[in-house]
Parts: sequence; C-alpha cells; structure tokens
Amino acid sequence: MSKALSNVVKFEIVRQLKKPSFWLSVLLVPAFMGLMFLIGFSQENSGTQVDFSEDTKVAITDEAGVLPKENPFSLYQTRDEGISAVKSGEVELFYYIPADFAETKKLEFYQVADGLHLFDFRSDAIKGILRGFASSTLPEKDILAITGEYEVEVTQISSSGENANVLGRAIIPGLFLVAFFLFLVLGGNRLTMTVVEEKENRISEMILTAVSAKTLIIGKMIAMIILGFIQIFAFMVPVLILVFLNRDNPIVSSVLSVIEVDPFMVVTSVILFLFSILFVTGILTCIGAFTPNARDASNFMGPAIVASVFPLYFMQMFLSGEVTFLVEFFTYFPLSAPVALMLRNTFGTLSAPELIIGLIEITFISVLMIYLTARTFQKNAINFQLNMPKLFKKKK
Amino acid sequence: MKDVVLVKNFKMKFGNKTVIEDLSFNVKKGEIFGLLGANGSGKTTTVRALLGFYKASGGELLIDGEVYDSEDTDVAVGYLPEERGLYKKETVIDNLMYFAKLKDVKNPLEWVEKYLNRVDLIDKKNEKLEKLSGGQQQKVQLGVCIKGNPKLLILDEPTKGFDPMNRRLLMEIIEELHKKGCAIILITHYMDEVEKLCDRALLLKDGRAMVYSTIAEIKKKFGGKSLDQIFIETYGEQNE
Repeated sequence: MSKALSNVVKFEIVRQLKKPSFWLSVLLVPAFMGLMFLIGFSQENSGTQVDFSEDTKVAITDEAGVLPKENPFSLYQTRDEGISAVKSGEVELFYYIPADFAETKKLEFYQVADGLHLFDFRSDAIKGILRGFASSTLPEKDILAITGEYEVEVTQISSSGENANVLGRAIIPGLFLVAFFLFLVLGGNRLTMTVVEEKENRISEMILTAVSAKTLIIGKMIAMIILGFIQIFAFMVPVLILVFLNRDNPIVSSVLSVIEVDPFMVVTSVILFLFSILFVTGILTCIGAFTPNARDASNFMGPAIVASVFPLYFMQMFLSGEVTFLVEFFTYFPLSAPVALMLRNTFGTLSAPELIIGLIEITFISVLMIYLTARTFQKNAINFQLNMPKLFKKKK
Repeated sequence: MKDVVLVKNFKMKFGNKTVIEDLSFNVKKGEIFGLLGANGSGKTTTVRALLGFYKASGGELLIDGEVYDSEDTDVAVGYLPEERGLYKKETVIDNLMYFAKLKDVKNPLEWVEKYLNRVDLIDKKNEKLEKLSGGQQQKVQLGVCIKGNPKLLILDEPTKGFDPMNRRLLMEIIEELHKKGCAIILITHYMDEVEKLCDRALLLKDGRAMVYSTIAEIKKKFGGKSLDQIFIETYGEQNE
C-alpha cells in the first residue's frame, strides 16, 4: 500500500471511530434486536405450550412411559415407526421419548422440512405436553425429568425422506446474510457520504492537488469496508457472547443443536459475502461520485439500498425452495443480486452454474462501478450542481 | 531561469462556448505572477486546466515540464482555490496533519505547530474547524496549501474575506515563500496586492492575454497609470 493510500485509509478510519454516532449505531441495532428477542422470548416462555392447529398430526413414541394411556396423540411402538410416519406424511410432528430419558435428559423430535416452521420452535411443545401430563403416579425421577430442563434433538425430514435439516444448514449462511445486511444498513449512508463530503465542503480541489482521485477513492473504499467490518464485529461479538452464556437455554440450545456445517455452503457464503460487500461499496460510492451534494446523493442512495434488500420482503418465496420467475429475476437483477444469491444459498436452492453467473455479474459491476467512481470523482470534483446527462436533454 | 509553469496556445471550450481563445504564458522559479481579469474571464478555468481538473480543448499546460499529476509530478504544488473548505467536523490539527502527511512533509507535527504559532492559532489546534471564524478557517486553509514549502503556489483570491490584519499576514507569508524561491500565481481583484507583490502579470479578456508583461512595463505602456486604472480602461473598452 502506498504511503498516500495508507494515510487516506488511516484518516478516514480514525475520524469515523471518533464519532459517537458510529458507536451509537452499532450498539442501538443489537440493543433493539435484543429487546425484540427478549419480548419474544418472554412470550414464548409464558405460553410454554406452542399452539398447533387442529389439523396438525402429532405422534409420540413413549419408551419411558411418562405419558398416560389416554392422550390425544397417535402413539407408535417404536422410533422407526414414527420416523416412517413422518417420511410418508402420515404425521407432521413426531416426538421420541427414549427409555432412559430420565437419565440422559434428552429426547428426539422429527418434523417435515417444509421450510415454514424453521423458527417457531415446535420442538419445545413437548415440554408443555409432558408438564401437562405430569402426575403423582409417575416415579419421582420421571417427574423431576419432565418438569426440569432437558434437550430436544431436532431432525428435519424432507418429503423425499432425507434428513433435510434446512434450519441447521441455513444458520451459518444466514449469519453471513445478516452480516451483509448490517453492513448495508449501518454503513450504506457512510459509503456515499464519504465521497460527497469533499464536494459538499469544497475540499476536492485542495485534496486533489495532494493526492490522486484514484488513491483517494480506493483509500476511502478500503476504510469504509474496514469500518463496516468493525461494526459487524462489534455487533456480532456481544451476540455470540450472549449465545454462549445462554447455551443451556432451551431455545438457544435447540438452535445450537441443529447447526450443520455444509462446507460448500459456508465457502459459498464467504465468497458471496465478500463480493457483495465489494458490490455495494462500488454502487454507493459511485452515487457519491456522480452527485454534487448530500441531498442529491440521498435521492439516489435510498432507492439503491431499498432495491438491494428488496428480496428480503419475499423471504417466504425463497424459503419455499421453489425457483419462481421472481426468484430468478431477483437473482440476476444487478441491485438485488447479492441478497438474492445469499438468500438462495442460505436455503440451499442455489446451483453451481447460477452461483458462477451471479459472481461474474457482481464482479463485473463492482469493477465497473469502482472504475467509474474514480474517474467521475476527478471529473466531478468541481461540479457543485447536479447536471442531467445530455441523454435526457432535448435537442434544440 | 527554468519555467515552473508553461502554458502554450491553451484553448478551452465548454460546449459551444469558448472561454479561452488562445492563451500562452510562463511562470518562472521564484516569481510572483498575477493572473488578472474580470469575473468569468477564465482565470480559474486556466488554473483548473493546469491542475488537471479540466481537459484542455487545445494547447499545452505544463508544470515543471510535464502534465500535472498530483502523485507523479515531482514539484510540490499548493493550491488555494476560489471554492475552498476543509473537513469541518475535524480539528484544526487533524486537518493540517492529514494534508501534511499526504504531501509527505517531514516532521509534520513540528511543521503544523510552527505554522499555527505563526498565524496565532496554536490555542485553537484542538478545536473543530466549524467552531472557528471565517478568517481563522482561511488561515488553516492557507496552511494546507503552503505545507512543506511548495515550489509552485496557486492562490485564487486568497485575501477574499480577510480583515486588514490577516491580509497583511498573508502578504508576509507570500513574500517569505517568494524569498525561498517558490513560484506563485496570484489571482486577485485587488490591484494594490498585484502592484505590491507581483513581478509580472497577465490581464485576461475574451479568452486572450490583453496585457502580459512585468508590472513596470505594463505601467509604462499605459502611461504610468495605476493597475486599477489600467484594469478599468481595458474592460471599459469592452463595455463601451
């Protein structure tokens, strides 16, 4: 890195780190999300019982003998019978209570992986059911077991009968998607404004006699990416610490227990995350380079950010696993491509050719945007008004 | 003496509008050169083209024998533009240090503190720029331009908004740099500054050099009139 470039990077990073608003935005988002989580968590706990619809077919194999003979559930003699019933679609949810449940404090839960019940924790419904049936006729160790803390191992089974574990495999790629979303939400505005600032404050002419436009822009981009990572890190670390401290919490432990590391999906997530960061950096700084002031930049930046996160509004469609026209459109439409690709990777519907095409598209646009940003910044450095392109002007 | 700046047959058009018809001049090492003209006569355009902000429609604009590039050109250039500002939310010292480091000034902190002492702003060094008065901000901007003793200094209306005290201070700084061999292009509407400081001057009108010579020769040519009178006379012809 040249000396001038490292000076730009250092200056941009240090001045942002000194701003209280930088840290406030980092802390406010997790604080808000934590609050939402706590509200949701308290409601989850207060209800204990997860409500099923009347049509939900629930089955149980009770080798431990903790359930009374009269109960509203389908009962299977063996675990395999129950699993087969889930595979065949005969039942939707199946709980297996092993004979040594009181000792191991562990039971199993199987459900059809339809992609619609990833986060409603139906596995925990068994706790409410068992507590409801706890009676004095049971041995003391069983009563202690069913009213105490125990682990529910979740297995998702696809309609083809395979162990799908959609939730488990989606967690790590999903974290990269969350990290990208944070980068965009917390740093999107900064990416554009850092380029507009020189023009807004009439600094461009002075600074461009000290450093080239290319060095300045690249330096700013590197600084903004580093700052974005700092914010993601500052956000993620407390969250991960909280998760670690609450690892015995039933909800947290049930999520942790299903995490599955699919190396292909994880590698793809890292690649998509990095390329997506480069992509939004290119797009948003380019807006800053083209516009003369913050107000004009905001007019373009807002729609660009909304278009980038637009696929998230169609999360259900991505979750369903069906590759519809809209899903394809979002995958290849330049602004929505990063989030759409990451969503599809998260839910396991992204094929290798689609990934390659997507990456080529993102890379091409990123490089083009960065090139245009450096060129435009030099040319527009002394343009203090937004000029409509000649294309839109009427010919005399 | 070697030319620090050489402008040869410079032409500049914006669309169909010709701003500079055909302009040639040079600025020598250690010279203070006045670039004069009415508003909109093309002075700032010429400087911007010289520094690469505009692409010339024709001709050559060279600094130290080459087309200027802020990182590749060896000669240190300081530029105080007409439209100027700094990082308002940053402190005085951070602003000056940043620019000093960008221009690879040796011992930047020492230089910055020396300058702030010189312009009586040392007690404001940790203040944010936006908290300073307009005149104080201008002194910081001037510091940014003269960091590391430039070989070429371009000042576009440097005294605009300065009170008499600060104007005198600026003149002193310009003279100091001049003595050190710095070539200075001074763009100003104050003819007394030109008479006092400049060795040579060029008066632009209609995109051409109407007058281009030493101050003494210009005055001699116009019968010993003051530069103010010469300026009014030159532009008066246009208005008649």
